[in-house]
Amino acid sequence: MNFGHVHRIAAPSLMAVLLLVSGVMPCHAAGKFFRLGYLDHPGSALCRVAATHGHFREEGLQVKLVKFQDTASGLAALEAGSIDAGAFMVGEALGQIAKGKGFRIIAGGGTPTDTGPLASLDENHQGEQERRGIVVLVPANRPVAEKGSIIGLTAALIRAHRTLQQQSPVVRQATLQKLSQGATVPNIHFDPNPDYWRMLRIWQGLGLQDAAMPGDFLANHVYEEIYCDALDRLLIGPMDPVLQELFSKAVCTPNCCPANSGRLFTLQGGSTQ
Amino acid sequence: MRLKQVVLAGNIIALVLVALLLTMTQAQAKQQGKLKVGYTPGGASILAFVAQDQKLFTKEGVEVELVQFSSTGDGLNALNSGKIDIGISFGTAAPLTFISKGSDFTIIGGALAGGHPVIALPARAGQFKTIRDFKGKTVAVPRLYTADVVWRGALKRAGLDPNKDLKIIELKNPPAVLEAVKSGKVDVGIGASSIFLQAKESGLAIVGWSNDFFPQHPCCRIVAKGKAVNGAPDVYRAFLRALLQAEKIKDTNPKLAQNITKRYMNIDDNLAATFVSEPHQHVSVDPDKHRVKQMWHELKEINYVTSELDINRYINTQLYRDALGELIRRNPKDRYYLNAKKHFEKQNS
Repeated sequence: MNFGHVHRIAAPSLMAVLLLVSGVMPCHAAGKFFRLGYLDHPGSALCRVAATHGHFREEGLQVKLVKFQDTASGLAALEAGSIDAGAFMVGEALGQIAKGKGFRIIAGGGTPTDTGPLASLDENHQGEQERRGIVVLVPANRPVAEKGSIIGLTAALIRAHRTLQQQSPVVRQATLQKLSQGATVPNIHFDPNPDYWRMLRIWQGLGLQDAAMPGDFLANHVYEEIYCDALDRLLIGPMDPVLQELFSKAVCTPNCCPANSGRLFTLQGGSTQ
Repeated sequence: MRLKQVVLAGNIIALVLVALLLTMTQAQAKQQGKLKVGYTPGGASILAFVAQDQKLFTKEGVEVELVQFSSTGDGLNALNSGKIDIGISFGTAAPLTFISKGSDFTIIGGALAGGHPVIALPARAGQFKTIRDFKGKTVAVPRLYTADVVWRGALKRAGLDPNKDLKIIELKNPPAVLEAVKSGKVDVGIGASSIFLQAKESGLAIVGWSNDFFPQHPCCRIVAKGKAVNGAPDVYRAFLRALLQAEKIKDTNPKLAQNITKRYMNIDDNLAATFVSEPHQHVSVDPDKHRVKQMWHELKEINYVTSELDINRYINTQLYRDALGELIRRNPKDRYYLNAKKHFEKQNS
């Protein structure tokens, strides 16, 4: 059998495989990496677990993680467009949003928690800890066509959350310890929900609402639909207790009266970015 | 001869002037009265279809472009960002949630009330006569849909604790509830109008309606941006006048409404008939302030909405009252509009 014959036989199959792969994994096909910045902080663990456990791949994304030592430089990179999304500290991120930076929060992350006996009594300390939690942001001016990638990214973070929740406490601690390369890992509460009401609490705690701002200024910077759509996508299939728990806390806009009760947030229609 | 020519020329000039004036007036009306109206294809959009089809918007001097959305969230986001001017079928809970988060939304009218079935396997149908019969049962609900909110409100009023007295399985949409009921995994399901036909075709029993828990509860309200309404109330009044006339057509000529619905939604006769004539689904443009306020209260009770806002400020009943008043002025003996006025006074005073 000569090479030309093999080539003629194999070519259609090869083409079919390439087409299949390009359909399933659009980012691969385009050769485009989704650049996800993250703060070197235990609260960013969902991003790293999603990478190490293949959750980005499961969502058809080829993600390149970019580490940042501080939130300010991460947000600057996000604004400059050198990363596509970033997981950074919520307090600073909200401060930048209040100053007019066009970021939208699409997912939550890890928040340090104090388990001491007096922890729940010290509101100032609690507020400080909340502000040091991690949220995932995207630039507000992303093209609508990329909404699918952002939903995929959020779905991968939800999958990472599920992976951690399904581990025993000992294994989970070991996973986090490994990610922090031996450094002491504080108690972290993970929640991929961007949770507008939590954001509002921090926003008000920081006194960021200016009298000249519209009433829904913050609401327009917390993109809960993305989280709802990602959750909606993952809820298809057998009941999963971790996803059900997330679902029971999500405030997703319900559909009232459609004839065809389809997906909540499709990529078409008049959605705003 | 010369006099005749002068008179003829004068007549021609007068006609040209009248024509010019008419054209200018129409152009001005078109410019002033243009609305982009967002909708999802369903029972709450029927009146807009009828008004558009019967040229009632044009008659009232408002040019309407209907913009279809596949989800409530997308529609309300479009309204919030100014891409559309009005949403007619984006629920009640959803716009109230946007309001709770600071959006400048105003409810200016109603679209649909009631109409969500409670479903069970025929063998279990006899077990559900009142809300108290849900005690000890496993119930599937479509989380945060109107029917879910209404049912939970009724549970609370009946003194039943949703965490202790029964088991609630929260599902993501009404079709999932339908499947849970069909499979026998739950005793009963809180459904939605969208699965009514499927439930009947599957042989399930309709053991009640959301109307039983909260009579004529709001399902979809007409919502607009408060600033836009204040800036051009005439346009929104004209829009409501057209819808009110469509409401009368639907009531007096349901066959026509059914035919229009079928064409606009590209559905079969059976489904069109359900949307138009199902007695539990009440189509009305009346904003029904009292029930919207009750819905707001129940949303807060189940912690779906966290807000101290005075919801009265976000419900504009004046536009509807004036629109109805104008139609009564034009048709003083019209029993349909006079009856609507009685309802308005009862539901909004």
